[in-house]
Amino acid sequence: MPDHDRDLVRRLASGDAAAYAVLQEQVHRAFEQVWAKVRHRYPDLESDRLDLMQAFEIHLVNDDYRVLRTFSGRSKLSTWLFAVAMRHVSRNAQNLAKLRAREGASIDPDCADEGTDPEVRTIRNAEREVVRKALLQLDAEDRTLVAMFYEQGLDASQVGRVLNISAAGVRMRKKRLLARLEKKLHGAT
Amino acid sequence: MSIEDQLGRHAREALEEPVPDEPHIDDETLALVADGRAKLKRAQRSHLSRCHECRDVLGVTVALTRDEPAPRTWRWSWALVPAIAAAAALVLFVRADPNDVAYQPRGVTAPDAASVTFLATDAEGRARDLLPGAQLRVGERIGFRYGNPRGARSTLTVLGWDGDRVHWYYPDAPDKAAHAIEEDALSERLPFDFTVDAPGALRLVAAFDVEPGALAAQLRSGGEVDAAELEVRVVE
Repeated sequence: MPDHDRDLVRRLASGDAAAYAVLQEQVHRAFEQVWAKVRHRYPDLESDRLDLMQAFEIHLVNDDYRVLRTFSGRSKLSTWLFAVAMRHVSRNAQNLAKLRAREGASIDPDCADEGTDPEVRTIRNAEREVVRKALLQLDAEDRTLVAMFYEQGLDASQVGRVLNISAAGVRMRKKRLLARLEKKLHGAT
Repeated sequence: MSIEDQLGRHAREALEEPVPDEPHIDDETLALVADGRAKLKRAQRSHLSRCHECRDVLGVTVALTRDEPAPRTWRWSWALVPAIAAAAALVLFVRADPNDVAYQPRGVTAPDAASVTFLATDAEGRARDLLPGAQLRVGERIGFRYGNPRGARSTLTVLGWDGDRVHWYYPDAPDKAAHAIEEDALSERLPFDFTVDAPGALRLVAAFDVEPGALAAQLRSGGEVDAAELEVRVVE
């Protein structure tokens, strides 16, 4: 554990109020950065941002820091906070979105981008099904590569960190994979 | 529509499946991967390919962090050639146990042997292999790299001794277990470096599959240790 993280955890354990203020600032910063990355996925929840952040802070410190105590110090605290914040946002935002949908406040994402034209939706659904079937045939590594580029929007060096290969290796693998997928998709359409 | 456009348009929904009925990858492991300090195990890679929640956590965390260990440029690789050659000539070598797995510096590691390398990083982030008698400045950081290609070892303990007290690196406290290592690692950097903060002699020791407290006791007794060791000098 880096020295400053170790020091912060030690001070929190001893009930140091100043340490709590430092943690709180890190927690808020982590949440805001995560939210900035994913807010476009939850356009209806912008007004819930502060509630979600408060819920995240409570999640970490509740029950005598139960969740924070699971942090063992193998990673940096700041990076761990990003991961925990994203997991928290993902679960809570989805629950809130479902709740809104039940209340009739949410808009079906298909309709949001393409209107309610059933023909457009049918074509889009058919395209998606073709892509889905092609991706189902990929092995775990290739599916992850596609997901990290096209679902998560990472660049080659970031995908390299996920797959533990160099950025050049990622680019080469992506090129070959796209050629294979192109054949499959053209064969299917 | 190009293949990239199709994927860009449909990947998120096409890849979305029900969350697998198995434990998620823990957030700290994902954080370590995001920092470029760990790799996922096979089962975790399989889970990641099927779990959009873990992909979202890792994807966002990777996007928000930088790769911590600075990539070594070719210029630096060439500059390190003499150091590696020198390291190859100097064997920090002790018998580990009757299984005959040896600790060796990088450059002389047999393909199936476990090994440990000691590194130092200066204030500008330049890393160098540490050789016996090397000098470090106060404020520089020491780090460690290991190999375990045969999977013969499961834990690594790294401690320091300054003649007065034990410095706990891996694990970072006396009450913790030894650091678990990867089974098939060829050259794996341990996740954290440590700042040397006081001048004087520093004895670094690294041992596989030992009880950390027992190794610390050997150091305190001033006797020989069953471990790879390296003595360096820290100067102001």
